[in-house]
Amino acid sequence: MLYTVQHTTWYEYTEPVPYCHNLVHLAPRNTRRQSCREHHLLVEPAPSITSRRSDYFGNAIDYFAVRGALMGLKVTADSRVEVERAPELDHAASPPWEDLVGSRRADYDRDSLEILQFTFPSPRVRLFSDMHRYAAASFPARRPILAAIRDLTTRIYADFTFDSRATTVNTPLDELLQIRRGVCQDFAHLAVGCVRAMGLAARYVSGYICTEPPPGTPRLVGADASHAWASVYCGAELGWIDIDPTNDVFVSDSHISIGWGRDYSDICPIQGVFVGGGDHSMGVSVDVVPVEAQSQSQSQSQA
Amino acid sequence: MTSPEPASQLEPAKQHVNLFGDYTCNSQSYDEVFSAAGKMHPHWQRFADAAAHLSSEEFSRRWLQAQRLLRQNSLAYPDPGDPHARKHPWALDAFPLTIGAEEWKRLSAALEQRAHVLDLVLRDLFGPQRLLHEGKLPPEVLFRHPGFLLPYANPEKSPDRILHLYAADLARSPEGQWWVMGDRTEAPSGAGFALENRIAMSRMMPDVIHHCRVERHAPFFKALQRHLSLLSEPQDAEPRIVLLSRAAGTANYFEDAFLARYLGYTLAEAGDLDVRDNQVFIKTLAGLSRVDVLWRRPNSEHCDPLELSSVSPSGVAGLVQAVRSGKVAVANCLGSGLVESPVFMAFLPQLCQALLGEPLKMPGIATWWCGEEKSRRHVLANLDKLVIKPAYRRRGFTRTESQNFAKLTRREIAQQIEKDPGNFVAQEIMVRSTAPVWSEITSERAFIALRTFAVANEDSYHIMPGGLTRLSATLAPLELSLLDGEGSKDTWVLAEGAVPPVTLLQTADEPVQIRRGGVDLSSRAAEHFFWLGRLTTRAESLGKLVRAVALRLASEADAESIPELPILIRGLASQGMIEPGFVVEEIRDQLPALERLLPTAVFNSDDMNALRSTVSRMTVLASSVRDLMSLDSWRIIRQMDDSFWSSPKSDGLLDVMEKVNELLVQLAALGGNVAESMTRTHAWRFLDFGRRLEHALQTATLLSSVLDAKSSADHALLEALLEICDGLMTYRFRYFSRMQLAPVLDLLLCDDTNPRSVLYQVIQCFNHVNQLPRDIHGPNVRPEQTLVASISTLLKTADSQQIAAAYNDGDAKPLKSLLQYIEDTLPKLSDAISHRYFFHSGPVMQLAKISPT
Repeated sequence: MLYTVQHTTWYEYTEPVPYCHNLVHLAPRNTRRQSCREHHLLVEPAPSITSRRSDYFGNAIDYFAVRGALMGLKVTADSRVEVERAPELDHAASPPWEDLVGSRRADYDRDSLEILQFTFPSPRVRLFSDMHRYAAASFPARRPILAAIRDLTTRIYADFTFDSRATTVNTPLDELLQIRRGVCQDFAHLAVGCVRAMGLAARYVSGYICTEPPPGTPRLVGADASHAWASVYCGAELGWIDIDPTNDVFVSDSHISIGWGRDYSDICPIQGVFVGGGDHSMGVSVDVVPVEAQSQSQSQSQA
Repeated sequence: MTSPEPASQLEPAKQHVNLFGDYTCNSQSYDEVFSAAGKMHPHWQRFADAAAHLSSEEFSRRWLQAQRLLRQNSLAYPDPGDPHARKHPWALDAFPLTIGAEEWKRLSAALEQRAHVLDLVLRDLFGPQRLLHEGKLPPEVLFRHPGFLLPYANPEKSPDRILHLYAADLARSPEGQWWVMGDRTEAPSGAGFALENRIAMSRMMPDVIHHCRVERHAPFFKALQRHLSLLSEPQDAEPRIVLLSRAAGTANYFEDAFLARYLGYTLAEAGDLDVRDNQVFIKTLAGLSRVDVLWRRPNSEHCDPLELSSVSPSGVAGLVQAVRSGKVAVANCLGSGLVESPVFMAFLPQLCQALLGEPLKMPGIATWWCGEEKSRRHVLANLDKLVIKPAYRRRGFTRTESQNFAKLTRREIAQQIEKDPGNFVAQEIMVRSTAPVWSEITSERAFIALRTFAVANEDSYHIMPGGLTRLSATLAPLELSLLDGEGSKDTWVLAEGAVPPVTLLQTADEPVQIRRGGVDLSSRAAEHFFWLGRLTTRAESLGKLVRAVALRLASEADAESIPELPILIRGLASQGMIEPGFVVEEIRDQLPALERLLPTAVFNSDDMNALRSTVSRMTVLASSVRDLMSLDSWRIIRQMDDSFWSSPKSDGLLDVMEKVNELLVQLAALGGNVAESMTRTHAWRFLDFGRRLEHALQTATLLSSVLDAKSSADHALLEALLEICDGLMTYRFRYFSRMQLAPVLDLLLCDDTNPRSVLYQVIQCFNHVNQLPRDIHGPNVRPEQTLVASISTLLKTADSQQIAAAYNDGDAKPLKSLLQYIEDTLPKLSDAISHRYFFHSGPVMQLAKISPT
């Protein structure tokens, strides 16, 4: 499936801001099933300095700074991304989850360290006993890993209610377990934490989802937002398998990933610091449009 | 060991016995001076011989002198953020710790090696992580380390040197072997204290130091200067090096200010720095000035709110990016604190072997990481013989938390370890060595630990000869801040040959140095001067008011017969010196309470408005701009502060009067010193501006709180006003003793020939405003000029006769509105100045984040 993605973020300041620093993770990453054909980052007003590098996990990260008496800032990321459908998986044939629990060894090659580093607590996913208690029900002895994470995904989906007002970007996981309401970021962190609590490797994935409109109604442009889910290491053969507890699905070709980290703090889509007084407001819109759909409704595809 | 024989005049070699008195060793510990058999270790003989000519009386006398010097220069100051902090002078013992040349050579080589290994470990872990691949370090140690900050890490690149400054805490075991108790790699503190101790000791016994051939500290600081300037990229003839401190008033701030002054660096806080297009700048009066090298004191995670937003909102936004692009060097490099966690001590022997192919030259205290099965079993089986600590040194782990942890029972500790073994280490309990501590009565014994310092040079490390010896009465771990220590010793490394005279320091005896500060003056320094000026004048005005009240309260006359007393008390209340409830009519009922309250207004350190707090704030401000003011000015301020701390618990009116009189004399001396000896730079200008502005404000506030419709301006009140405002002499000269409101108002408000009048202050402010640096592109007339000119015009055109006549007829309005205008406008002027010169930018704000949904 080929998509165009437009992710726009704008800020308005109540007082002129002399200088603003920004870091963004907005460029979709190339993976086994995904390739980013085009990516443009447009910053208005034009930045005085920009630079791109790979972060610690190999995700593209852009830094830019804007100077002048800014009253606002607009960041637009345009991408064309092709995503392949995920192969059908035989859950029963996957290895028992215990076989994947990180073992202590004398030496580690690069690949095994790459996996191992996602088994530990991270800034926003602290492991604690409640999380293990919640997760354990999905991990009975010798259950195949895919069946276990399928079950976990469904339980999170069933036990937690989507509520965009229940949590903030900083709500901790133990609070989430109490209130049982939240947004995709919370559910992704929870899934990551549950998997790690069982001794397995899980990473947090930032990206987009193409929301299918109900039949007969037009696609809602701009209603989509950036999305997040979890990825679980399922052994050498299967590799990393992505689960989306917000939608109770295994990830296939309707998800576009930007990149991953241990948790949100590693792969925050856009962050910035400005110097100067005053308050600010912000807005965001994300349009993920399949290219076939675009030809049918030209008006929705924007330059 | 006791040496019971009294010293004999005929045997000078034995006189040391006098100094050490009836000192006895402790059989469990190694003693630094005496062997178990009671014989002095050979390297102490040099000290004993050198000090032999000093009688105990002479030793005492010199010691008192050195103590005074220490108090004046003291770097120790409590952390205002820490409720447990207490103010105490930095305690230095009169006996040094001496270390022989041979022994030091071994120690120094071992420290060099350790610094080198730690640097290689850091460079590997923030780079290719070969130590993990090769199984030399369990990956968990790195991956769950809260100090492993990913923005600093890059597996693709092997970083250059990370560890530029290093400190190690050493202790000596009962067998006489030195052990490393802990590593300090983040931003080691204490070198300033070591230097301060040396300065005090050289003042106390220059002859003894000379005779002992004590290795100097100056070469270490020279090496530090050289190393930091070489970090600048591109190589600049005169790189700008900034010591980035934590906020003024925090613990270690005095040490930072001292080191910055000693080494000639600019002292800054994060808010003084700005990153523009990957270049770091410091804000000065003239604008932004480039910074080449940052000597960093805040912890890594507090250095960049952009890249470490999840950890801390403070720091210099964009600093990590500036470092990445090579436009600024930071020492220590960000992330260097990683290896000071105790967990690394468990692995350092094998890391050293792996990286250098040789064993550690000095052992670290035995450490077990519970994340390893075998170690955990050992620890759980030996809990009572070990100290359990968190494996990762987290700055967030506060004193309270560590105290709570210390209170856990053995079973609770075992449970915690079982729950999360990787989070804990256990260390052996070391019985540290002892050394005698001098006292006039008898020599006491203290346990010692030695903090040693290293700075990088080309391919190795330069070790400060000696270091900071810390004393403690018990064997508690050395985790807590340096400032919590019970005392310290200067550490003397005895040279084999002659000691070359190297010094960077101008000794306190050299003439007062006043450096020229042009527009290059940092905005922070300018702000400090401005507030220093305001606070000195506030202290003076309040002091005079308190004195006037105290004099009247203590007089023999019945309070009822002192009509101005309630009115003056109202003045005190309006200044926040006493509770507003004391605006009283029935003075007699309130007298006992007042006699209690007045001392509080002077001495109470918890009250922001008390004189003592004002003086304390002055000291903090002055300490950070000490290099821009005369040494005598600093001494006066320090004395003011000290005399408050050393005052006995004072609660009588006499104490109040005595203290306030002393303070007023000191303030007058300070004013004179500033007026006479401070060059007319912008630093002086801001200081004087602050004084003038505050003086005008104080006078206006006093007049308006005292002269309201309810009080008749009678003779006694007017005389009191003149007394408080320093106008009594002039008034009597002009008008003899005929006290009338109109001439009093004229003299205190509108007389531009009276240097204490409000108009006079305003005219001076006007001059200052015109002389301050200005933006050539800005408007011709700036708001601060308009503000100050408006007060000036108002006062010049005010008719004192009419205002006074109206007042005497019961209409206070003309006077009120005049004073009100002044009281409203001066704070606006202060804000306008702050806005223009002190805040080139406001606080750093993080942009809101949006949760993905």
